[in-house]
Amino acid sequence: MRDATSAFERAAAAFETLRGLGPSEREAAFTVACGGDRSLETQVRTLLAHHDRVDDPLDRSVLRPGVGTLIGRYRIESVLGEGGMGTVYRATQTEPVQREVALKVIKLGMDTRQVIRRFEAERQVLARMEHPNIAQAYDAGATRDGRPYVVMELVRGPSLTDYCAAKALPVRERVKLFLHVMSGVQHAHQKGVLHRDLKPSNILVSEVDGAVTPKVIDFGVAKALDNRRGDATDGASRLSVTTHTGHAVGTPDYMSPEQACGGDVDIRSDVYALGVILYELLAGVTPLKAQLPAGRRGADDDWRRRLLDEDPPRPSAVLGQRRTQDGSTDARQLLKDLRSELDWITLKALAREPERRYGTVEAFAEDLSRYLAGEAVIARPPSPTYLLSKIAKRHTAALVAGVAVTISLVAGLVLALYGLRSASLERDRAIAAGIREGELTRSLQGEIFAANVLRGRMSGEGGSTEEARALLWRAESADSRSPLVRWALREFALKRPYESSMLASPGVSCVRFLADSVHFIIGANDMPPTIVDARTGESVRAFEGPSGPVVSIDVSPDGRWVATGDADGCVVLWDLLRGTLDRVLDVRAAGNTHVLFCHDGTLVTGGSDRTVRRFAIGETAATTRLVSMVTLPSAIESASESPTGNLAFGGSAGDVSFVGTDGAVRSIRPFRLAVNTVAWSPDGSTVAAGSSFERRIALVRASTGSLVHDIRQNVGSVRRAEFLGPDELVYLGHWSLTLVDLRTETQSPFAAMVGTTFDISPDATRLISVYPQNADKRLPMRCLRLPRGEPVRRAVAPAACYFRNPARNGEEVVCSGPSLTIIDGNGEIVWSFDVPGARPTTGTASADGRLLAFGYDDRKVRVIDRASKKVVAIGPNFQRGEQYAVTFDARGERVAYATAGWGVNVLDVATGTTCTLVPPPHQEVLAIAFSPDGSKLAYSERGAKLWLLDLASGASHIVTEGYSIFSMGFSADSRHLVAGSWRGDVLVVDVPKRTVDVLRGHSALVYGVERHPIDEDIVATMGADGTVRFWHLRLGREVFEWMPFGPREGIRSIGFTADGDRLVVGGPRGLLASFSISELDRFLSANKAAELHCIDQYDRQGFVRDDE
Amino acid sequence: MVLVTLDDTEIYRELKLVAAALLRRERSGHTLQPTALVHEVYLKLADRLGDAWEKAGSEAAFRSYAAEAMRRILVDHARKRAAEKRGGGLVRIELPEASVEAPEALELLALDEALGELARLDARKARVVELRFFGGLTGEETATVLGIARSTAEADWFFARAWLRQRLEQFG
Repeated sequence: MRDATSAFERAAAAFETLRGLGPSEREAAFTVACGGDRSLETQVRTLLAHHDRVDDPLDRSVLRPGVGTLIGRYRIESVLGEGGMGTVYRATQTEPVQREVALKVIKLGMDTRQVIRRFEAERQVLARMEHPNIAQAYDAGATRDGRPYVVMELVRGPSLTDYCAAKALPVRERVKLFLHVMSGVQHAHQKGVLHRDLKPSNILVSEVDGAVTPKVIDFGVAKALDNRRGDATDGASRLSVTTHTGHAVGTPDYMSPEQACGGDVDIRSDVYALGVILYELLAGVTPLKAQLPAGRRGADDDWRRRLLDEDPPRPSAVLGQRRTQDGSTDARQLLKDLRSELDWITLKALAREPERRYGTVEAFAEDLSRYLAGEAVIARPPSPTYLLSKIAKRHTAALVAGVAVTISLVAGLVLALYGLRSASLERDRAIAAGIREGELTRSLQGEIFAANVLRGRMSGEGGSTEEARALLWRAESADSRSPLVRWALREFALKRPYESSMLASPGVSCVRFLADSVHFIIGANDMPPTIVDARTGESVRAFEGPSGPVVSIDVSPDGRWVATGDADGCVVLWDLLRGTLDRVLDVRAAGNTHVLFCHDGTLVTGGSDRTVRRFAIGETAATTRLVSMVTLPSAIESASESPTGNLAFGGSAGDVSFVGTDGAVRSIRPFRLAVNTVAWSPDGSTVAAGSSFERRIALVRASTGSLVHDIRQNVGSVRRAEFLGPDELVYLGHWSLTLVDLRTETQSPFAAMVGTTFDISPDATRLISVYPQNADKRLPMRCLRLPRGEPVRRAVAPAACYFRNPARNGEEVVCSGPSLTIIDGNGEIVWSFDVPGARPTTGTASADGRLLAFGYDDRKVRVIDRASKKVVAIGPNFQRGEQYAVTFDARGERVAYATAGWGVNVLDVATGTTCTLVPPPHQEVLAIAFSPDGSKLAYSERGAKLWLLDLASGASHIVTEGYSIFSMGFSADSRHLVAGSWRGDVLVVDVPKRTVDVLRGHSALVYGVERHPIDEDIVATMGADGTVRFWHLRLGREVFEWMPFGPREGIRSIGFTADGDRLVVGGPRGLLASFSISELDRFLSANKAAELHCIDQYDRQGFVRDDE
Repeated sequence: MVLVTLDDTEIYRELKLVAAALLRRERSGHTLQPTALVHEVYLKLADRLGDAWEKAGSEAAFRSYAAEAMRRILVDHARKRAAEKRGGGLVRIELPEASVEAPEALELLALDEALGELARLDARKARVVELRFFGGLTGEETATVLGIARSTAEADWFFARAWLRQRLEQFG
C-alpha cells in the first residue's frame, strides 16, 4: 500500500510538472520529470493523454457547473477562460432559441470607461463580421452592475496547434486547415478589422459531425481600421488612434517587429502573426523559440533584439534538428512532406520589413494554395530548373492520372505497381498462405479502384466536378457490378456536382434568374448588372451605366425591366433588352433599399426608411408613378410576394409584416433580430422567415400570424430560404444548402455551397448561389442542377424500430413497438404480433426471414414463426439488453442471447431446449454474434473484453480488450468480425489471423453493424453521430458516409435488403429512410448525356493513354 | 460548522427531490436547472433558519454537503436499479435513447467505485472531484470550500480527472 501511495504521488508530481507544457516541451521534460522510471513514464503519458482530451464527461457536473447566474437571457454554466480583458463563460441562452454560447464579461476591477469604450468598439466590429471561420457575434448588453458583455458563438475544441499535434496531421492537412483560418482573417480585413493578437490559442478547431472548422476567436484587441461614417462611436474612433501606443498588447512570440517597437500596425502585422502560426504548425516551435539554442528555452529577455535583427531559421531545418534529436515519428513524417516551397512561403510572411511580406492575407493564401496544387509559388523568384521540375511533376501526374494525386495515394500506386511486377512471386506466397487464387489481383484492383474513388471525391470537393465525374464513371465501368462503385457514385450524385462554377467580378451581392431559367442576372457593388449563362458560367452581357452599391435586384415579370436597389437608397430601372440604364426612381430613401417586382408588373421598394412604396412602371419616367405607400415597424431587410399578391417583409427588429392586396398591414414579431429572408409557400398560406443572427427559420401562417414550425436544429446562419414544394424548403446556411422535409421535420444536407444568397430558376431546375465580395477565389458562384426523383425514399414507421436482417422479399423490416411489427419500405404494416402482458425489447429475424427471435420485458426470449404467427420456442432468463443481445445463427436453428446472470444462453429452435453456453460470472454481455459458418460465437462484455468462442472445441479467447463493444457482425465468409465500440471506433478482427484493425470515422457510439449480403468486403455501421458509414474490409478504409437524418439525429437501425440493393435506415420518431442502388442507376442515367460529355472530354485529355 | 446543527434528514429529503428532478430530466430530455434547484433548497433552509444561516460561508458549506449527498443519492439510485434488474453488482445507468452524452453516459457506479479508490490514495483529490462533479462547484468555489489555494484545487482536479478517466476506461 505504501508503494502504491508513493507511486501515485510521484505520478501526480510528474503530471503536474508536465501538464502545462506544450507537446514538444513535454517530450524534452519527460525524462527529468519521471527520473528515468519507465513504468512511471508510461503511466504519466497515459494520464496526460487523458488530460489532453478536449471533451471530458467529468467536466459536466451532474448539477451543471457554475452558479446558474443569469446575465440577461443567458445562464452562466462554467468558466471557459480568462483573458486580459475579461472572463469568458459558457452560457445557455434560453429564449428565443435554446443554445449554448460563449459570453464574455469585462473583468472586475477593469471596468474603466476606456475599457468599456474599447469593448463597445469590439462589439460593433464583431457585428460587422460573418464568416464560418470567425466566431460569430450574437448579442451584447450590460450586466446589472453595468459591466458590458458580448455573446458569441461557442467554439468547442482545442487550439490549432494542439489539434494538429493531437491528430498528428500531415503537412498538407495542416496547410489546408490553415487556409481556412486565413479566409476568416481575410474576411475581417475586408471589413476593416485587424486582429492584432493572432496566436494559436485564439484559433480553436471545432469538430462537429466530422466537419473540422477552425475558428478565430477573441477579437479582443481588434479595432476598426477605418471608422466609416457615423457607425462607430466617438470612443471607438479615438481609440483607434491611441491604443497601439502605450503597452504592447500581443504575445511576444506572435508579435511583428513593428508591433514590438510600438510602430504603426496594419494588415501586414496580421500577415506576420499568421506566418508565425504557420511556422509553428510546420516546425513545432515559434520562430522566436527556434532562434534559441536547444535547451535554452527558459527565461528569455533577448527576444526583442532577435525579433528586430535576426531572420529565423527555415522551418524544415528546425524540424530536421528535432528529428535527429528525438527521432519521433511524427517529426519524421512531417519532414518528408515539408518541402522547400513551404519554407519560402513561411519566411516571406515573416520578413522583418512589412513591405517584403505578402501585402494581403489573400496573396499569402494564394501562394499556399499554389503549393497545395503543385504549382509554382511566388514566394521565391523562380529559377528555370525550379519551374521545369514543377512542370515535369505535373506532367507525370497526368500520365498516371487514373490512380494517384496525394502523397498517400502515390504511395498506394507504387505499392500496386510493385505488386503487379512481382505478382508471380506474390502468388506463390499467397497460395502458400492459403489465400484463394485471384484474390491478389482483386485486391490490387480494389486498391486502384479505391484510389480512383478517393481521388474523384477529392476532385469533387476541390471543385473539379468534371474530373470527379470522369473518375467515378471510370471506376464504375471498370467494375460495374461492385456495390462499392455504385455507393460512391450515389454519394457523388447526392453531393450534386455543380453545373457550372464561375468567378464573378468582385462585390457580387444579389442574383436573379431570367424567365428562360438558363440565364441569370447579378447585381454587384459599383457595377452595372451582368447577365450570365448558367450552363457555362460565362458573362453574356454587361449592362452599361453608372451604378452604386447594389444590394437587391429583380426582373419584371414581362422580362422588360431589371430593377436594382442599392445601399444609398437609390432604385434604378434598367432596360433588359437594350442593356442600358433607363431611369432612376425617386424613392426618397436612404440606406439599403430592396426591390421586388410583383406579378402585376408593379415594383415594390422598401428599406431602411421602413417605408414600402409601390410603383406602376410606365414606358417612360413621366408615366411611372407612385401607387401606394405603407410604413412598417422596422427597417425592411427582405421581401416576398405570394402567388395571390400578398406581400411579406422581414424587418430589422425581428418582425414579419404582411401587407395585403388591400394595403392592410399586420405585423408579428417571431424574432428578436433582423429577419433577412422571407419566402411564401407555393399555396400562399405560409411564410418562411429566417434570421441569420438567430440561426432559425420560423414558418408563420399568414392568415393567423401563428407560428406553425420552428426549424432550429441544423440551421446554420440562414442566408436565404425558399420553398421547393408545399412540404419542402431549402435554405442556405454557412457552407451548405439544406433541404427540410416539413412533413417529417428532417433536414438533409444537400450540397456544399457557399454564399449569402441564392435564386431558384422559374422552372425549378437550377439553383445559383453567390458569395459577396468574392475576393476569396476559393468561393466561386455556383450553379446547381436541382434533383428530380432522387434515389432516397422516406417513410414514417409506426414506432421506433429495431430491426436487423430484413425479411424475404427484400422490402420488409422488423420493428418493435408495443407489438412486434413488420413494415415494408414504404412504412405500411404488413404483419404484427402481440404477446399479452409483455413488450418486445430487442431482437432479430433469421437470415431467411422465416423466424423472428425477440427478447421481451418479461425476461423471455420468444422465437416466432412468421407464417403461422406462433411462438415455436421460448428461452428463459433473458437479460433485456442491447440491440445485439439476441442473435440467430446463419441457418436459423439456434438463437444466442444474453442472460440475467451475465452469461450467454443458446436456444435450440427445433427442440425448444436451452443450454448455458457461457456461464456466469462474467460481466454483463452487450453483444453477441454467430459466425455465418456456424463455427464460432463472438460476444462482448461490459468489462471491455471481446471474446471469441470456438463452438466445436468450447475453447475461448479474448480477442481484444479496452473497447466496449455495443454492436457486431461477421462478414459473409466468416473471416472478419466487425465490432462497433462505445467511443466510435470500428474494430475489424481478422478471425484466423487473430489481428485487430481499428477504423476511425464515427465520432460517437456505434450502435449497429451490418454486412452487405452479397459483397463480403462491404460492411455498414451506424453511429450515434447520425452517420451511416461504409467500410471496405480488406482495404481497411471507409468508403463513404451518409447522414440520412441530419447531424446528431440518432439512427436506430440499419439493414440491407436480402438482394443487397436497398439499405434501410430507421431514424428518430419512427422515420425510415432507404436508398436503392437500382433507383440510383435510373437517377444517374437520366443525367447521363452530360456525364458522358465530360468523360469524352477527359478521355481526350489523358485517360486514353492510361488505358492502353 | 453550521450544518451540524441542521436536521440532516430534512436537507437530505429536499436534495432527493432535486435528484429526482435530475433523473427525470435524464429520461425525458427536459431541461431543468438542477443548480438552481439546489440553490432553492438552500434558500428555503436559509429562510427558515434566519440570520444564523446567512453567515458567510454557509452556502459553501451547504453546497459541500449537497455534493456529498447528491453523490450518495445518485449512486444509491443506480444501485437500486441495478439490483432490481439483475440482482446486484456493477451496472451502468442505461443510456437514454438518442443521447450518448455525459454525464448520462457516465457509468455512475463505476465512477463511485473509482472515486472510492482515489480517496484511499488521496482523499483531497477525491473530494475535489466530488465537489465539482456532484456538487457543481467551480474551481474557485472548490478551493474556498476546502480551504486550499486555487492553483492547488486546479492541479488536484486535472490530475484526478485524468486518473479517473483512465480508471473508468479500464472498467469499459
